[in-house]
Amino acid sequence: MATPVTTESYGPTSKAATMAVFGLFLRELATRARILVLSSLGLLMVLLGLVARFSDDGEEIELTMLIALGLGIIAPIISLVMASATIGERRADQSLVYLWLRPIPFWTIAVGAGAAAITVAMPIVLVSLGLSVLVSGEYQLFVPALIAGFLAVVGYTGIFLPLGALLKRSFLVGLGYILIWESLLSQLGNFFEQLSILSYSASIVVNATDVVTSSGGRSTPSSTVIPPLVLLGGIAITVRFLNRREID
Amino acid sequence: MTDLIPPTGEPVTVPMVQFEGVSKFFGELVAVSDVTFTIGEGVTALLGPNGAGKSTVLRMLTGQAKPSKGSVRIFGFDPRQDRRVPRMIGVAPQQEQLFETQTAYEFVHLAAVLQGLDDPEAATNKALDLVELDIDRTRPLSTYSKGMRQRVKLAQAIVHDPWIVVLDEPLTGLDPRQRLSMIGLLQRLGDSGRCVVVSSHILDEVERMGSQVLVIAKGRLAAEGNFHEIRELMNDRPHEIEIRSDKPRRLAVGFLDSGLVHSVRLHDSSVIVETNDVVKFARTIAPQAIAIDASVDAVVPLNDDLESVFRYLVGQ
Repeated sequence: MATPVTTESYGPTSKAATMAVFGLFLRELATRARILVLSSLGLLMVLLGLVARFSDDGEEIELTMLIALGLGIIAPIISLVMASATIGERRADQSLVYLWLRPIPFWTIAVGAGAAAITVAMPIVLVSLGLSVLVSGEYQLFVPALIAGFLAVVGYTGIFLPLGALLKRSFLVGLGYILIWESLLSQLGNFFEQLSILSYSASIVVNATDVVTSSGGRSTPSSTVIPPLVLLGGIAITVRFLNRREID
Repeated sequence: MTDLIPPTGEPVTVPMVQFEGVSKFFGELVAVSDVTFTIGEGVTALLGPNGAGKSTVLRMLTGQAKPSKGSVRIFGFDPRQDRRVPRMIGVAPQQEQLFETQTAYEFVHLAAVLQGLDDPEAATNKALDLVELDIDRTRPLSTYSKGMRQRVKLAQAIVHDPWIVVLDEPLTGLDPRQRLSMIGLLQRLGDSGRCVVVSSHILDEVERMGSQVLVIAKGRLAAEGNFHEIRELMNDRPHEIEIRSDKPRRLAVGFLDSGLVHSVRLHDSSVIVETNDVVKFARTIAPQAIAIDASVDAVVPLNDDLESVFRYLVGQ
């Protein structure tokens, strides 16, 4: 019997595969419950914008809240929930095999998953940061806050995407990372700061104001470049996981 | 064995599935030990008790797991290294979880798209028809019963018309009619030249598939080949035969005198004998009955079913 086996390549185009994986993860992530819970977290940021509006030093207070709460807690937590759930949840429930056993390059799975996580997380983060600035009345922070929020989601996705793939308890580990590394250790000195996504995203906002803060000592160019590089690194680690690890 | 025809060069002959000295260790646990076999066209059942190593064998076959020793080849390709292998294989894993927010159509359609099919819609409809799944296009998979999920899993496994179909416990959760239908489908796939590998512990159904068997016990290959041939090879194991008669006691005496039986057990209206030579013994039944004017209502082999064979092989 003649067989269909040849040495020609098989499978869809990389674009078609990436789009199909992206569509799948987007739908799996964007559940009503998830969006509502995370949006309520973002609403907290908006309410605190009101506090800044009625304070004497509104810009400093809004800036502090943007950095400590918006970029330091809300953006990473929303990114964690989305990014760690993509491949992580599929690995945990063993449905990842339905993607892994297809004739597609593994990078299409990692890129599709990362893109889906960013697509769902980004609007929630940007709307909460943007509305908070608008409510506070510190309009000069609007564009820097959006850029910083964008870079924060990109950078954190680069960390939490492979974390979800590699670890079973990725959410707890990620939460520990946010609270201990990003929020505490990154304040201890230049070494830790250089390894913190928060320092880069915060620098975008701080560099756009005259306010002197302890956060954000990075230059604007490096703050713009590093988070996307972290995302690329995270995708590379995820591809390595898919390539090396055994799949249930 | 089948012909492999590369775009350039001479055709070569390679097995569809080949395990060569394959072992798999998890730490100190030996899950699979030095297993060698080839699988070709038709239905092949992978049999063994829980923990025997069946799933590990299947996972190595699909490339999901890497052998600790030895080699696994699919049409000569390493399933861990060559991303073309998934185009040749369709897999329905044991786990029930699917992409729960999708409908059955979307799930199978996604598989068709990711296989790079030219007409994924047509392939999806054909696969769903083959598994006799009349789908509601708006109903998410999260609402599906176990039996429906089994058929969805099979549909996504065959949507790209693969040459090798690997199914882990495909009959679980199906009602009797669905089981018959599924067995028929697997037989048709096997008859069409596909290599169908089925892992199952429902032995009577595997027997009904009329398949080749690979018996895995304690990580080792206990037996392989046609089920009935394996049974015939077990010469050291007596066959049990029940003879229903109106005079079982007198028949039993005659059977013992023939020297062809090891033992007899008497019941109200039957006698059960153990013999190593079924053919010779069968020839003595009628003369014995005639000699004592006994009626013989039925002659029933008791332990030629797959369950018995399996227990025997695992016991070995």
